[in-house]
Amino acid sequence: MSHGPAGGSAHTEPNLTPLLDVVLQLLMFFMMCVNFVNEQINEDIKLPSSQAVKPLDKSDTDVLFINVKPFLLKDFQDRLPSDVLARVQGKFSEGDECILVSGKEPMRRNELLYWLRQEYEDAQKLAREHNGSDKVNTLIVIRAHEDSDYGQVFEIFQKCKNVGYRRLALRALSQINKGGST
Amino acid sequence: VTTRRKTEAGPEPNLPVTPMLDMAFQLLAFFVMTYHPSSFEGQMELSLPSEPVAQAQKPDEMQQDAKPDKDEKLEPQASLTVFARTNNGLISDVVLQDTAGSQQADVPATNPERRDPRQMDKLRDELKKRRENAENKDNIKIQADSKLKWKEVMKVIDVCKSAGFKNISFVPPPG
Repeated sequence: MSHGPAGGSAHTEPNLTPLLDVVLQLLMFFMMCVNFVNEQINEDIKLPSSQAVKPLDKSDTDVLFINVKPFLLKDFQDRLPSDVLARVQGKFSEGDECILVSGKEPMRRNELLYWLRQEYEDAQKLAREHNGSDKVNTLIVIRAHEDSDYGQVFEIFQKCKNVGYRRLALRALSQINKGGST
Repeated sequence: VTTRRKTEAGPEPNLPVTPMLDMAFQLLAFFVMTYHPSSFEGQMELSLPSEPVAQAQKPDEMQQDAKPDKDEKLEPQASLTVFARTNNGLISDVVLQDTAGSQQADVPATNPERRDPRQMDKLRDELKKRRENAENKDNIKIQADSKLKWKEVMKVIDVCKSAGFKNISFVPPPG
């Protein structure tokens, strides 16, 4: 008894080309939307929403981020080595304001000035080497949690300004303009 | 010189699709895993004076005595100031003040009753009205109580922007 069509030359391989097409389409989509996690940005911060913000200008490369949020232990528990975590825990109690910048442990407001000054001096040195001028063109981006106090955020503005930075920007979630009440 | 023609139907090229598909899947998996639907973050630049303020003549001087000065304002030339008051972190009432000439007129822009749903709309209308007579139509200052939450400040910023003010600067909180 024989099964199937006679001859035995029938191709039973599935046609993978349409599948490949679809996969490549998907791949293209994800590649376009790729948004690598910026280590300077803290994802735990809930930004306030605003109708007045403009889309991000990616051409700015000289950017320094300052993240401001209330200290919550759970946000740091898995991310910091245990010795650092212990130190941080000693410094902050739950709900305290803490400032996060890239490459540093969570800071208090009074430590910010020192850090800013260092960064400013570095930027100045770099500017002197490259263009022979002292002008620092760094943009300071402040990402403040929506529950931060105005007083805290204002103090950060003032510190940046006192150190010498001249460009400051605020981050918020852009909200579609409903043209109405808030 | 003879050119070779490819008219005769040769054996159909058999492109191996499977390895390519495998690779495409690998890449797809990578991008799916790193996919981070970014919340639509936007940015707003603040206006700062281009030169260090009067007390420091040269940038060098400014660095050395970079101590926080109390009543330095970030942007001095604005004729309108919005004061946002709070008693529980949310805006309780908003007061507008214009410093046209020597007169200082305190006019409550809103109903002092807390959380008036139309509070911000009223403020916007008032700001628009005042902007027409203002000397400086682009600049406005905001002063908020120290304990006012940042999201509430953002609402005031929004209103100022929608009223037509381009440069917003901040005044130190009272006290």
